[in-house]
Amino acid sequence: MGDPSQDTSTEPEWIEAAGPAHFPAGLPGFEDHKQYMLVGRNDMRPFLWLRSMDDPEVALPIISCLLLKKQVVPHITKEQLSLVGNPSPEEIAPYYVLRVDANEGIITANTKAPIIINSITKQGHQIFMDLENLRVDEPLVNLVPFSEDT
Amino acid sequence: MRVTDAMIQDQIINSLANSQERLFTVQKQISSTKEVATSSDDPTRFDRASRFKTLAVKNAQYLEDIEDGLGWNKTGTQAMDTLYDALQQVQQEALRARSDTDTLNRPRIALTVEALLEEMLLMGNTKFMGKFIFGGTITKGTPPFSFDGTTVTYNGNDKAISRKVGEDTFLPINSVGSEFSEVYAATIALRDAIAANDGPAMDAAMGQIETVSDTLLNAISRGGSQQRKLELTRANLETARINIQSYISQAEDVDLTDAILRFNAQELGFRAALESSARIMNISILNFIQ
Repeated sequence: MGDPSQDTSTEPEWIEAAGPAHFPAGLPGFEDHKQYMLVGRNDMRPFLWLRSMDDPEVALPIISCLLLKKQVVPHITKEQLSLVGNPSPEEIAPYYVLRVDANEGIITANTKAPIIINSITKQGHQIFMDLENLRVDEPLVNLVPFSEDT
Repeated sequence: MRVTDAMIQDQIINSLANSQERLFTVQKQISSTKEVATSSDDPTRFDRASRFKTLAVKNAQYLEDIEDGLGWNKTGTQAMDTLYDALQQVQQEALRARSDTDTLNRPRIALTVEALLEEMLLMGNTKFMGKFIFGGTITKGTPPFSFDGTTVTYNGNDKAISRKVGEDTFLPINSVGSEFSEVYAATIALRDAIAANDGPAMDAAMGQIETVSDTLLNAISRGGSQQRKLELTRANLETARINIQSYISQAEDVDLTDAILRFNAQELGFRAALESSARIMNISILNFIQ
């Protein structure tokens, strides 16, 4: 199955990509889940999962925004930075939450609401960016560098 | 045949376009690999997914209510903005009447103020989806403001209208007419003072209008604050909706691992095509990124 909680011996090993990150406000929809691990699999790089430590069944697939077009860091406000302890731009690890569009069968990214993690303090928050060119269901293929702008 | 740079570029662009098209095709194919879990497959997992699905349905309802609330709120704020603009014009007319030495113009100015008053009444009785928005919870029947030629009466109440935006969370969406009903009394006082050629009464009415302008601005500001809260809540619910769908899509609906592996395989092919093209063109991939 396609998530880190369904680990079986026949599948490649899930690797912890980053230690516990603390989300004081949880994530929208999962407000009770405050501690997360970033886990991944070698054969699925650069995709990662943000797995709840409160309930390992809860895991959201994510990808680093730094690998993609439509950079988010320059658009993060001071107020949003303060939610994760005011890191400098290079200390921010930004991620998009992914899902598979059930109708289209394509992977989409929520570019309107990236997750930002302070790589020093490991404090995280999912922020909302009110920019017109962002979408909650941007096909991932459009974000791959070199693909045409949408 | 001489191979020009333009021909090479065309070939590369075609190659990349084909690669991207294949990527889209494979992405589409992912939908055919869906596996739908049932309660007998994995009861715990199914229960959890069901719980989040219920939450997703509730969130969708809250989002609908917020959209309706935002429509109500924005209509109200726009109406109050228009009301404020009209009040500004009333102030200008008052200044004109006060400074005009030709008192014969004053009856005409009084008529202009009367016309502005009518416009302000229309704003006070604005409807959204067939309901009066400034009457508190009295949204049908008698309009919030009635005018008998000498007095404007407020027929509404001071109760807030709210929308449920969470399990135990409600947000107000309306402004009540009593917050700004004084603007009518001040405008009528001015109209009458101008018509009666009464300088001191005009001064008093102008002072009143200045005060009610501030009151109206405060009401507009409260409406704006309501709007921001509604929009923030909408953003949060929308993000929650996507997060929950993301969780459900991997927990129940689709084999996400398969989707990702396919994406990676195809995307690598895409990159390889681009890198090889870049080598031929002797340009850096960085050029594409920039």
